[in-house]
Amino acid sequence: MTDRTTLKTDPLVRIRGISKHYPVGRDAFGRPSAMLRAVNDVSLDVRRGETLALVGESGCGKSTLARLMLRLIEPTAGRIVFDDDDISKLSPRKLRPYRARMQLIFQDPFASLNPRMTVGDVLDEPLRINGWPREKRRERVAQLLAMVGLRSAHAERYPHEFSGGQRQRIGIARALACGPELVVGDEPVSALDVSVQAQIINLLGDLKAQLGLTLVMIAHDLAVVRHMADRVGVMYLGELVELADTRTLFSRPRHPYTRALIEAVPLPDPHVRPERRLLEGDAPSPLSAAPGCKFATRCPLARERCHSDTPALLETGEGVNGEPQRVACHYWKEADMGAPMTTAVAQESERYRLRAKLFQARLQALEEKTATQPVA
Amino acid sequence: MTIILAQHDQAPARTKRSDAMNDNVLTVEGLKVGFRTDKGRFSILDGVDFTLRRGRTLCLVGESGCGKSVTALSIMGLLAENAEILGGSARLNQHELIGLDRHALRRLRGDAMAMIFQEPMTSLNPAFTIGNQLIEGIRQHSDLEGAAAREHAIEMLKRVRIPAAEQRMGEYPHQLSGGMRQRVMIAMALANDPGLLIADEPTTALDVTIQAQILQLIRRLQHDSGTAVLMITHDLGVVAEVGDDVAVMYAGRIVERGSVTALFDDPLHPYTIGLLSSIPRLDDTLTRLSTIPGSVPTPAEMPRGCRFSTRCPFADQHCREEVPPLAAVGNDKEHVVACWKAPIEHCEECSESREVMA
Repeated sequence: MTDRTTLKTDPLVRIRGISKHYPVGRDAFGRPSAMLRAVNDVSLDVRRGETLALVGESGCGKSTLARLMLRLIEPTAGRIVFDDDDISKLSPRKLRPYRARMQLIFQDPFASLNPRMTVGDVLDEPLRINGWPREKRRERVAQLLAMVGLRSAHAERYPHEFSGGQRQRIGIARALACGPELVVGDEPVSALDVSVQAQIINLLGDLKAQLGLTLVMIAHDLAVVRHMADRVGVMYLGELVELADTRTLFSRPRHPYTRALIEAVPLPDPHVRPERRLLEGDAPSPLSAAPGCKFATRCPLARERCHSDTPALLETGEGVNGEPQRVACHYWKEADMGAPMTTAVAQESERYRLRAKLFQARLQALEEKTATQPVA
Repeated sequence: MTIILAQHDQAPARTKRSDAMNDNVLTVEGLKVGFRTDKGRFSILDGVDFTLRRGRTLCLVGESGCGKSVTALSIMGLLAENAEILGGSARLNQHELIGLDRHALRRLRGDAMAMIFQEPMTSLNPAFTIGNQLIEGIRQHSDLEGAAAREHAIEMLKRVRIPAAEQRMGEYPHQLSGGMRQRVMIAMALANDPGLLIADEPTTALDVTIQAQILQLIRRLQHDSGTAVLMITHDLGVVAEVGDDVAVMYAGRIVERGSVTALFDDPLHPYTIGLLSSIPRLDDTLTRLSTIPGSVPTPAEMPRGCRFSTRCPFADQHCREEVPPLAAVGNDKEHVVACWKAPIEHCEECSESREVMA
């Protein structure tokens, strides 16, 4: 996590009115019969050195937005400005130098590595494409492996010889190969077991601090987001409905959807079993082009106006850190009801706390003893 | 006169015993399962023990490959071809399940015991309507036919709160959302009022707001019917939310078992402690998460003793050599742990660490 006071506010990426619509089906004249609005008119800045999380449920457009940001898919409308250059219209050839500066980490470490390539080849490929001389590449591969906590001997091995956590380390090393400024993680830890997930979250945090990276995290696990992000954008059906710094968002969510999302998270504390107000129903089809707020069909506060008038993402005052809190809701003042119950401090027992401390202290002591052997 | 007296004497004793018998819906003892592969035989489950009482929820928790799903599949008699049960027993209402033939198991599945899976889409037949599949299950295991079976199916869909139940009967699985499909699965599983419901990661594929709905639904239905639920999950939040009891599994063994509050407030096994402290929490903003170093050993490199000893900071030679028994270490006899070092604050290895911390 970045030291929030020294955060520079100069944006690395500026997204303006970006949309991605997919035609669905064909009518008798070959014209699309409907439009799937995967991302609809989203504007957003990614600041240098921050970790920005995009959260929301499946189909909300968070992955599409991330891919638009990297221009892996073509926007239907809108602009993407990367480090003062508009990259939304560049040809593939002109885009190439920017590719090395922005990288993606995938969710599934089993599907995102070529099984026929050794780890060394996987890491060598981006270097070769970007014109690194042969003699420097070997050294760089070893350096990358060390950075993510693997041994240089691992370069000879194939992906299937590694566990899920190790594969995700390889995926991270590949993303970092050419020294990118922006790294986008598309659910980089959600396929991993909790104990391994914690290792990868720590690794990402360390690398970010070490290399001064800007991170965009696509995630659905709010606890992970709370832990890693400086700012959070909440998406619902292709639209950004709330954007605020992490502390503000979790302690004072202002969009009713954000609140519902936070309150739905099961807490690892059996003493707090809140009888919560659950959201009814499912998200409506993204094909429907009904006017008004997309969340209105499930919103407990929805009124007539919500079904006709689309709310804009507007500043609603300052958050905890003096950052603006932006909310797209006509009635956010009524949704603003203080802290959601699930963010109340869980009661950890004294015994658990003592043992957790002992466990970590003992691990550290052993680590110091065995010197600096990288974690397998 | 004497006869009446004798009856009086016996009556309380008998009810007590039968209560205890009825209460234990599922008893699993020393369950051992192995897999045959082209690389040899591997032990997957190595002596799993637990009991599940009527109306209670037991959560089996652990990381991928720890054997929690294999435990469930062994009970249901749904293990893969290359798996074999090497020993132990699993009794449903005192009836042994291990070794039952296919026909006997078929009669039990969907009737006395039922299971729901992570991916409802892969468990529903895409070629048949929801109503068709529900009615089939009802007709298999009851005397209901025709209109009566159909009525019961609609009733079940209403119980799992599917809106417009009658209309849904004629729809196909692909026409429903993920949450609705899982509701249909639950309706099917509970249609014949089973004593045991096994839920294998029922909400893992669902979004968090839908997960909350499904968990609440399972809890409510269980409250009404008294079904015992064996919930398999990797999410400690889900455990805390729905569990009465928990068994933590690691590499094919239960390493700790107890009530949910005991496990969260007084975790004894180093693995449980490590697991609890490696989850990021909604309520904290610590800069670093605690971790458990390394990963689960492969079957080929499994240590002879405690299977967590390769990653445990407290492990010594004894731990690596000898399997610790699952036993109580405190006053709570229901709270058992398989660790030579528990509770860790009293173990020798901790003395240094305590000094460091002090």
